[in-house]
Amino acid sequence: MKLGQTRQVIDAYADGLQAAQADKASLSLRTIAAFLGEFSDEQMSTLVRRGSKVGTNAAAQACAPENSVCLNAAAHVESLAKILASGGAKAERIKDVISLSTLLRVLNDSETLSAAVQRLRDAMKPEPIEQRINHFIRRLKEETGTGSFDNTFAELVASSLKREHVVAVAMSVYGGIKKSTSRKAALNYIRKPHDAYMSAKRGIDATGGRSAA
Amino acid sequence: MEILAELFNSLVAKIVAAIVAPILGAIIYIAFRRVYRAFRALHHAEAALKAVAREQQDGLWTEGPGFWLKQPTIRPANYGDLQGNSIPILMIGATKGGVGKTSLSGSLAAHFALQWTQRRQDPNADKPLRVLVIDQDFQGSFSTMTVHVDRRYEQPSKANRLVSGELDKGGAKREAEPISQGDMRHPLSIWTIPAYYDLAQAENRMLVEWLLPLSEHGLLLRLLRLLGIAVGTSPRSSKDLRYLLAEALLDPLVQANFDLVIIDAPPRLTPSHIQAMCASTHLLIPTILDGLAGDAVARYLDQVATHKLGIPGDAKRAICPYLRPIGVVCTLLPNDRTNLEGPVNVLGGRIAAAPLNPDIVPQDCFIRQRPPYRKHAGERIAYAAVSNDEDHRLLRDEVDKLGDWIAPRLGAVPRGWTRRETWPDEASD
Repeated sequence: MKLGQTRQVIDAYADGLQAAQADKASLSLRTIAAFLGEFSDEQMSTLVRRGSKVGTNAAAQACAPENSVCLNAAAHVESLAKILASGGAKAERIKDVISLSTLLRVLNDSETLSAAVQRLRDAMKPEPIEQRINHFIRRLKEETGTGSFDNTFAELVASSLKREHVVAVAMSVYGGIKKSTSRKAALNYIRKPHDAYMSAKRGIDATGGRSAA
Repeated sequence: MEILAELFNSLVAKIVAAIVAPILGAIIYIAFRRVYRAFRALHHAEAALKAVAREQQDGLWTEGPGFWLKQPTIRPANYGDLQGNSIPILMIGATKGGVGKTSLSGSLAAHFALQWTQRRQDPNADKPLRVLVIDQDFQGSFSTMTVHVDRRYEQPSKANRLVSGELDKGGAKREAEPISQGDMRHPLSIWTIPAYYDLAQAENRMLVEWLLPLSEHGLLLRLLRLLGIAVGTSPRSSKDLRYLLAEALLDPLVQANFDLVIIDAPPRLTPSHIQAMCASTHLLIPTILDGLAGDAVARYLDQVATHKLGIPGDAKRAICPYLRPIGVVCTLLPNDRTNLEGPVNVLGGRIAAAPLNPDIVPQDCFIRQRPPYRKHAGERIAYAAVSNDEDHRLLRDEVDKLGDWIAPRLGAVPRGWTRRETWPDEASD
């Protein structure tokens, strides 16, 4: 799901905490929500992937103070996940909130929550465009025929990559297409090898191990 | 008087006994045989029903492994060794019709016969490869292309006799027809086993006979035959239907008199197709380049895997363990279609989903819809036509590239095959 949707959920929870006069917790969550708002069109999976790279290592985690601000914020986010789960929210939404809390725990060596959020902000800065294109090409090729292809593809669809960049990805993943191909058509081309694999696999699974005489 | 009466009585008794006893014996024999045959018939009927039985899966009755994987599997003696030392037997197979199997079989046969040589008995002389093409499609398209009309429609067709196991012990060599249609390059060292519509009937008959293997060789019938009294029952093969073609092609006479066998397989898993799988050493799969055909290739590869490897968890059921898929070749491509990278990648995606993943042959080996194919359809092999215009040259060029890609996979060098640098001398040019 997009970060903007998670932001709305966290904002609503912060409102509730504020009403219950839990100002400190509410403030922490507002900081996180504001950060999510800056990247509202990006996917949570992108944040988790990039954020994990700037997170602390195991040794730093062991040295982290027990009252780390990140751990406190993570605890609030986890509470939110529990509330969502008990309220019957969508599994995807709950999963995203839990991913966020895990990410905050990874960043527990930061002195302040603002510092942690700044590290995430830096990680979310757009990569050099060629690097991003190559990254998508590698992942899409690796994940062709697997369940994770759809996530990467959704990430590509939601990304800020322009038409010509998506066409470049399609040229590598699918094959030679016209440079003037639209973004939508290029995305369709990118899906084709994966869809072909899945279609063939389903057909094979349906008759596999039988002599279809 | 009394003595005479006694003698008469004993004589009558002896005559009666001499007449009645054999009749009684025959009645008892026939009765016992009937009962025995009834039990055998029941047993075989049960086995046949078991071979086609469905299986319960998640509460639903789904199709079982299918009768082609029926046990026991009775392979010819030394089947593995014979296959390992066999001349290449290249099956052109696909379960989708209209993908150019017959044209490809003809083109490759002509390519190997005209462009490759081998030193046999005389180590100083290169002789053209001798190619045997087995036409297994009952429509007999390859036969129409290559066999003169006078020889084409003989009954029963030779393919009928081959599928019935009647061309074993060198029969396939003796009955092979040298191709005889006109306006083809000469000499052309290609022979064929022609097929006609009776092949379809033969396949059905063989299937029933195999599933219900009731012998007609009763003692009484044998005795009557021995006495020369004609008995009107048709002969039945008691061998495993699946290996009848293997037995015919792995025969020493066939192996010694041909360098390459190409099988033009029918587009369904018929007895001929299964026999081709069990007899062949290599498999080439032609396909057109669209989504439907791509899926069909993946499913066919799954079928090949099922018969080559056995059903999952039961490798003993494998019936053609030595068949090696060497490649998938795109055919019937429109001449103006140049950018094929994307569709080929998509086809590759489909093949990757299958349990066996042969290579897609390089794009310059793909076969295009060249006008000579249509021009010579039903009259001769387009590749071997005497015409030498630009269209024919382009057609030969791509078939040659495909042949050159296939040859090393058939073990050309270890077999002593040599590629010609120029076309062979032609009497008809």
